[in-house]
Amino acid sequence: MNCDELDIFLSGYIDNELTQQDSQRVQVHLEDCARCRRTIHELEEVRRRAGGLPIPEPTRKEMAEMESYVMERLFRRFGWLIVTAWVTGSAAYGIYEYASSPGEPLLQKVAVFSLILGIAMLFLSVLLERVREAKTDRYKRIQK
Amino acid sequence: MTETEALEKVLAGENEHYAVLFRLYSKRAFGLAFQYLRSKEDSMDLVQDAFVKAFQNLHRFDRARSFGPWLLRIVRNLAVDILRARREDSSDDVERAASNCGSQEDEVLKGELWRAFLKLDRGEREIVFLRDYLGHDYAEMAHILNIPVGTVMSRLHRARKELAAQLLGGSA
Repeated sequence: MNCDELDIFLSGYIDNELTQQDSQRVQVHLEDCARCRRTIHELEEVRRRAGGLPIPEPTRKEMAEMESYVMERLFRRFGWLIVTAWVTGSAAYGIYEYASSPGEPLLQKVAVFSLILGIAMLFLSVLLERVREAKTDRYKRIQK
Repeated sequence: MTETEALEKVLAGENEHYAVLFRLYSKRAFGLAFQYLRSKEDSMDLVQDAFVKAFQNLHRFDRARSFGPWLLRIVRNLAVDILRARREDSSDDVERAASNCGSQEDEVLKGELWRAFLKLDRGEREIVFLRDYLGHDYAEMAHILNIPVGTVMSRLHRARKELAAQLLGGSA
């Protein structure tokens, strides 16, 4: 195996991610190849430096705030689920009762259902827009 | 409490133990998010969203795996969505980093290592970060990035060689 064929294995070699067979092939080649040994040395140096990439860390207070926010969201979700289930159930029951009542004229029912459908579509479109904005708004942490 | 114990309790409905998982993985998640977004505030927001999303999808989590790589996969997907939405994931990264000034992260991004790092494409940056900064093995990286292990190895090697050329002027 020549240097070019071996090259692709060198990062896997320094990371101990090769099979035993491939690792031995690399090892044998390295014993006789100064160029590939130099490449190995450079790859190890790059790995060492990349491991020290400076990343600004949130403060303890910020971490605590993040944790609180996440935990609140978990519990808030159950609240929303209960409220949503209640509203949906009540609305479905009301619509069913109204639709099945024999005393109301058909034209009135169509008008009422059209209004409800229109309001529901408006509400849904606004809701979807807000959700999309919330996902991409980079300033949402800034307090107004 | 271990990760497995905390997970079992959360899955059994004891949500308060999710805080254990947050404390275990929030710093790593933040690091990965920052690597993509390069903004402390945005990265903090993303980490919060990722933890909430992970909780909402916990029923899909394969218990044979570790929670960390699965969470980081969510972080990565959210970050990529944000970058796509903002159309910021382009080749002007270096100019953007250099032109910003003032904040803590802007100072960090001006360093030699970050400048070299930002010259890599996104796929190369994320793979170097996952391996060399966070210390994941190739199988975990393949899971996080949803690519084959062979691609992990070749992309990582290409990225390291590019970094070597920039940082060491090397032949690697």
